[in-house]
Amino acid sequence: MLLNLHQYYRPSDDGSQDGLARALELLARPDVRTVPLAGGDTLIGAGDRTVEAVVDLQSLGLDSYSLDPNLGALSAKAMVTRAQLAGLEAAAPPAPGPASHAAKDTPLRILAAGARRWGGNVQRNRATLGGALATAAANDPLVVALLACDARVLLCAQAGYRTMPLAEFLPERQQILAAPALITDVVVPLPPGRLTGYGLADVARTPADAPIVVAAAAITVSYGICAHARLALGGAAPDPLRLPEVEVQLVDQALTPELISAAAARAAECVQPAGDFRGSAEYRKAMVGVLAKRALQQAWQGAIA
Amino acid sequence: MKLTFTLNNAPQTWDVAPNESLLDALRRHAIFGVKHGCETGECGACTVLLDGVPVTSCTLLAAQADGHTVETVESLGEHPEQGWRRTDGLHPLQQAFIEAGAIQCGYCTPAQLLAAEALLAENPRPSEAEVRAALSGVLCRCTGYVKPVEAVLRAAAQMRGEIPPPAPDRLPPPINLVELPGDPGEPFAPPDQSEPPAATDSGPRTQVQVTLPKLVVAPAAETRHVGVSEPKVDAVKLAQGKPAFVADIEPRGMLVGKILHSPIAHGYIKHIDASKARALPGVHAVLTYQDVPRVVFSTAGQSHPIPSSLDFVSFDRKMRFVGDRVAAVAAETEEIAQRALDLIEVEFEPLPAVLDSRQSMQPGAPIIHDQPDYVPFAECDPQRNLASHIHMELGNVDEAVQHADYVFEGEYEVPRVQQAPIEPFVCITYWDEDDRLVIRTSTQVPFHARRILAPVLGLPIKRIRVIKPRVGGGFGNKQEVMIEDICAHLTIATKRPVKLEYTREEQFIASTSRHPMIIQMRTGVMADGRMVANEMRVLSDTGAFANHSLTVNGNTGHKAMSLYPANKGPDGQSNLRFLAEVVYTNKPTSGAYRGYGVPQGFFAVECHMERIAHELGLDPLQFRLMNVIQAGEEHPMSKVFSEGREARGELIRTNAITECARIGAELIGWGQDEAPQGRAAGVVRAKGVALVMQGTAIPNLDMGAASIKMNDDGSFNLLVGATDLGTGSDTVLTQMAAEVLGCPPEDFITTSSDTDFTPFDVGAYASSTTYISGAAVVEAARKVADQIRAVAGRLLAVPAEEIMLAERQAWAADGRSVTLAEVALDSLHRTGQHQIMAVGSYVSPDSPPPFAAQFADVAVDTETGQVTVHKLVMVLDCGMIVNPAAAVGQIEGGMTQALGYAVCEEMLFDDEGRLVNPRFGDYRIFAADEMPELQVRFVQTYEPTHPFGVKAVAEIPLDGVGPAVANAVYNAIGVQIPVIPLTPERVWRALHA
Repeated sequence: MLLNLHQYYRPSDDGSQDGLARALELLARPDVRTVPLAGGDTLIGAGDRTVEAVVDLQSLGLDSYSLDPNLGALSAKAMVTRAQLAGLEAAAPPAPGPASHAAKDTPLRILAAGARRWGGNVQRNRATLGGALATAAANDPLVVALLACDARVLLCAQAGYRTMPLAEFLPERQQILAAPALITDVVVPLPPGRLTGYGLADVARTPADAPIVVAAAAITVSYGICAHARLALGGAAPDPLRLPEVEVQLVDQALTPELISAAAARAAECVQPAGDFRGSAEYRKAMVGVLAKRALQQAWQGAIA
Repeated sequence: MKLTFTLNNAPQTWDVAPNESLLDALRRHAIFGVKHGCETGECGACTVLLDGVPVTSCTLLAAQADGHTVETVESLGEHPEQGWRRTDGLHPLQQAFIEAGAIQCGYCTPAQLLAAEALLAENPRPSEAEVRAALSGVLCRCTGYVKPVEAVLRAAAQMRGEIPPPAPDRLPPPINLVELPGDPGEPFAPPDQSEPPAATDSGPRTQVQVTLPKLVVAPAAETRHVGVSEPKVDAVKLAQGKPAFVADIEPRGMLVGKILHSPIAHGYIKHIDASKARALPGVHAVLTYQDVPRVVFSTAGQSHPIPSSLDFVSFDRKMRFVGDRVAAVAAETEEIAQRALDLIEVEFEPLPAVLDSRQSMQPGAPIIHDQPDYVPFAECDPQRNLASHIHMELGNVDEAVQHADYVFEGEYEVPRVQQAPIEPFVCITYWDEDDRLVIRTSTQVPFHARRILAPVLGLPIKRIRVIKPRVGGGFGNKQEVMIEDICAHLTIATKRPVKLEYTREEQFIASTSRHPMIIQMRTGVMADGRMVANEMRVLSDTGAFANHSLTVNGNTGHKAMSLYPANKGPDGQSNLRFLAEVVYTNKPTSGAYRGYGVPQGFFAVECHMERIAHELGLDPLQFRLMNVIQAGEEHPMSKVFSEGREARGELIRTNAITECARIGAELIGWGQDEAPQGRAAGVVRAKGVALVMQGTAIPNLDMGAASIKMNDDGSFNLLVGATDLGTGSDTVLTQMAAEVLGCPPEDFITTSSDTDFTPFDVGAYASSTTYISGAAVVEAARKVADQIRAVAGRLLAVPAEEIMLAERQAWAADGRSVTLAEVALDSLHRTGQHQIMAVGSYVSPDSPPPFAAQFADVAVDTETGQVTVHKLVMVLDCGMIVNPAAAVGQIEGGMTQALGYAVCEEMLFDDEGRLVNPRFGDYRIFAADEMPELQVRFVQTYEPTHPFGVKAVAEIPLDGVGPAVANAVYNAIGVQIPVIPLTPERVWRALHA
């Protein structure tokens, strides 16, 4: 229970004021601890006693997404739910592999998988994209997949809009959002052509449990050479993170299994995870190596399929 | 603030607080179909449809629903006959859940129904995977999800106008032993290995040993209601979300109780000041150890005298675990109660804590129970933190070991796990108009609770009434007087009704759990596999209090060691030794959990058997069967242990374990594995097996009783003390009565567990209800049948003994009959007027064990260590099955709990004794979309000590999944991991050791 919550607001565009502006105005009040309310699972479940007011974002028109390959991007508003994102899989071709040589890989596949690997169906109906990014649980596969897909975050503050890469947003998000600012959109580029593949791999206690460690990768191959590489990890640090130092190891190289193994080993060297009840630091570090390799291999296969 | 929304097609405007959840608002307005299971949205019991989409209502502010439509289960459908008012009847989904046996406790049923309704509205032709995905957000601890999924598929088919898939009673029928290929007791030969191992010494050929059984075969079915998948008698109300559970009534003026729990694992309350809390408006009482008389008792819900030390008081100055009781508050709202807890000022004086059972009895360890009013029981020594010491000995283990060809030693470890019923502990207490204290509580043991609470509350037993309404799962957790004393103290203090309901976190930190154990095995075996001696030494952690410490841990040896009597030496004498030290620690209290110590024992025994078989080069299944106990033998440990009472040996009359193993082996594809593939192989698959046995009630102790009263229309009131927790016991007891009285189960109004009205029963534990309470019901029914025959004989002018009851009529041999309604009317209104009514009670000298073979098919990712279980098979000899759908549902649910025990469930603590995973999700229980295939078969024997030949079903599925999965992993990777759960890291470390 949010024991000290005594104010509830649901701003919307009412003709006299923009709903987002009203929301930010409420969030900016210095004397009342006010927080945004998206789906609510995390906020209400946590029962934070410092929360005095909430700003419900449901009437700000932030609950839609557009998916137009011609525009080259998936653009999703912040209140789009995990269930909606999980449904993107229907628009995506099957996972690349021997049986689907003709399929073009797409980021939608790992975004949908990442959205679905969190809670049950009922919970995913409320959990939102914006909530996932604001919370940024260390092992959230959706956030990790978004990182690998070069997602950008559109933020609205009282000073106006700005956009930034998700990878830059995550480590700074608490200060950015406290300013205040609201996440309004997430944009994921959909690379044209048939040359980019994606991978997502995790380990968990049970098939649907939250991952202990999760890795996502994207690889673009051009004329047999890796033109672009992304590797993102969850469960390996306090926040999901990308590993540019590993990515550069792959770019401009003719990929081989050995090269990918070396990159994965480098990834394991790069992280200093903390342990918890799901897995120790040592285990997580080892799994980074295993799962990074799997995600990169999947992505490579997808790229050359 | 105002909440304006549409609820179940009707516009509503409610006053709600900004911080009020939709769950609380709905329940405050008597919408009781939404259930409280947690506060974090993770269990899904509170699911509603928000604009047609299933969402959890505990993590949704009521204010968020403003302007939306909300549907609850109350909108689905209702009983088709409401007096003169006709309705559209039940929704096809509700009907399918009832018919498929998908409802056990029914606590999560409304949420499952709503999730399914939303699915079918969008997708009228879902696949099984889509149904499982739709139900994945609603945790169920009873069913294993098989029957709910079947029900949704059936309803979908029906709603499409198609013929639904077969209902459960058209599933593969139970197999009676007489129908099996080959002779009963024929030596088992696994596929592809028909030759027995060659004897390597001069001892008897082992195959001779397994042809012993004097099986009592099952007769051809001659029953009409027993052996049939009748719908559960409580299913219709549960499918409608009727207010059937404890928290679903709210007496006027009811206060909310809350408990302040200890933040330290061990220490004293140095100073406590509740004055600010008491001064808070809306607070009616604050109780601490200073306010409540100190009466020692045990919270264990067991028969008199309690077989454990008395070491517990309602409030103490000493804290013994993180979660122990510091104080309790009664206030007008939960919010005020919570604020009052915050205002209680407590200063603690911490003491060093014992958090590791290995350290508990070490010299210099802190003493957890040093209070002068400690009442010891049996062999305990609180000055050494020893709660119970148990020793069972048969034959001469040391000598037999000396003469054995091989001696195998091993150490195994099992974790602390939580029963995790979806309905947490909840209790409502109030004074009635006669100044009697009414305790409406979610308990497995209403009669024990009344007896135990009387001295604690300063009331005679006769001034306490305990009512057990429907219970949202128990699994042993509620065989405990866990919160009833606090709730009652608050009512006594305030004179007001009080409701006390645990949060999910409280359920984890401040209730009971399964005893964690470290188990050492030492086994003497001849080279050909004959077992000649077996020894088990247990170090068990009872946590802060001793409740159940003797009996749970005694059961570990009593049952898990009796499966293999170790009597294959020259003298045929069993050489068995069981030693247990059950120690106190500053952890949450261990207690009863389905299986009651036996799953722990079988994990060690069956992993050890696997290792021996591997090292001797024997087929693991064949090795087991050559050593397993047979029908006609005496239950070995029954001769030396009976839960702290005089032991009396028991005979094994029925045992089809060989047949169970044969059928299970066929179902799992036993013998088709490749050799262990090691760590380099990537993902490897293999199978594992475990044989298990349990008991059926506590012999010479467990007692059940029932009364049956005939009504004017020929219907009956069946009153049983037995406690239906969702297991279906009300239904199977009704079926037995119906069988005897020749009328269908719907002619019975069955009422269970109200200490004012129903006869005594020990309650729901020890797998006793069908066997013990069932025999009592049969006795009562037979007496009533005799009375009916007397009246009918007079009406038909034939001797009463010639009357037969069937089809709601009493029949004479010449074909004439009178209806039971006519008999009832005559007896009540016309001739020789009297009430046809009788009482039956039963206690058994026997505890016939059910037997089973459990198999697992697993895949191990050798790089990550992740274990994925693809299939579980269980084939059981549980005697005759009264209700196949209910029995299969029990087995599937039990296997699912045991699967969690095997791979993911574990309560974990930090260095201060704080539980680090006190919520669903972090404490992982299996969801519908990640389940392996479950396959259940019965091999029916006829247990001659019961009127319908039954044995127990409830606990045995918990026993073998852990070792079967662990043995499958062993077979896959060639490394035995003697610890569960088999988490990815644990397996990975074993592979990299």
